[in-house]
Amino acid sequence: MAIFKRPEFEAEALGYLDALYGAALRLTRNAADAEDLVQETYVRAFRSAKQFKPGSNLKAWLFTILYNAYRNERRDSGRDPVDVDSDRVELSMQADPAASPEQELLRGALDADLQAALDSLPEAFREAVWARDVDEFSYAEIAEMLGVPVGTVMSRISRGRRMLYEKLNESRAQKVSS
Amino acid sequence: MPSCREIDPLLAPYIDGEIALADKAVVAAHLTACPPCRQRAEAETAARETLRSRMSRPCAPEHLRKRCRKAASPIGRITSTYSASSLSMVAVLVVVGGGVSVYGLTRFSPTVLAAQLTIDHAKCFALHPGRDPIDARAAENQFERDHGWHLRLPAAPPADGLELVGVRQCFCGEGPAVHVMYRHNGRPLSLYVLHDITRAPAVADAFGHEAAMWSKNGSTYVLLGKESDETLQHLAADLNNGL
Repeated sequence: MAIFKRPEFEAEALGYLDALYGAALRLTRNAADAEDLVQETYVRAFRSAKQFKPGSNLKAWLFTILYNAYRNERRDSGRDPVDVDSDRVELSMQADPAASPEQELLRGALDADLQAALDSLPEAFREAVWARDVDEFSYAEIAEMLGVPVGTVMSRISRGRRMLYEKLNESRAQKVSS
Repeated sequence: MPSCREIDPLLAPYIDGEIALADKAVVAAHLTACPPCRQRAEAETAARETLRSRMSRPCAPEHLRKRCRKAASPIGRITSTYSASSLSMVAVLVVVGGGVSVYGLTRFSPTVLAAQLTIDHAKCFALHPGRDPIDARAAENQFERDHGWHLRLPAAPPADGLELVGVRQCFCGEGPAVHVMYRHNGRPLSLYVLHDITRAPAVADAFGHEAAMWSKNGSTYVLLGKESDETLQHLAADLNNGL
């Protein structure tokens, strides 16, 4: 019966539920808020399904809706989602050029340490890094989702990765000294 | 040789393999000659590889999956603006006031219609718990004799596991309706037929029951029971084909 057959668009969109939930959890850091955000994302997506251009990237489109919904919610509640002083962060990252990177350092970190290090990054950097390294979006897709130029995306990814590395380095140093 | 400041913005695309060929050689040459930049690149690469290999996505809980599937349905879009408290208030109205007091509301809300019919469904199966399967043709003839309505029951494929156990007349906010009582794999399942009424297809849930509603040939059909969304829609599709 045609009236109950869900369009392919909806089935495909629902296929990104886990990825959207992961992003929502990262943003809200709260399971209940994350669920509301994901549901709101799908309600908006299905309501404006006609605006989606077939053949374009549905996953990036859904993530854009999710980020917009999150930003709107934050703005309405008086909180600024991307309050990041990029210059200050950049300076602090370049302050220690003598760091000695070793692949083994990060490989040996516990998952809890990795999660804590990630959580400690400023949101704008964490989102850019995650979108690239875990969700595997292109720079252009991330730029559209986060509403910033591609150059800013690359810069945030670069800084975000270094900050993550530094955080893990610190966490290991603390463990060694204690 | 380009300065470290010029190389810095190229590090991410270099590490991600998204750099122009000409720039790639320049960055590679710089990294060979500049230990601080090389260390930064190694740190970024290590972080990237760690994230790619170690971070797994959480699985969305099943109840969220269900909520989002509902958002895909017409009813999900309709009720997304309703608060939970307003829906429970409507449910209380249905329980307290019965069909008459909410007459009119059901014309606008699939959820209220589903709530009304779920109450009738629960009541009928509670009053007649142990019904035996009956023959569809005999039930049609009996119903016409009792109520003066010519009734044609849908034929469902035997594989659906549906047993016809009763046909009654009931009243909802939309007026008189035919209540076709089934058992599906032993569980109560109801099909309501509302004559001379059409409405948009929708799915809704009320009091732990799922309802699928659609219209055909000028009548509205509502199938409801404690089935999963998918099972109910599958059965609805089969019954609709058998009409």
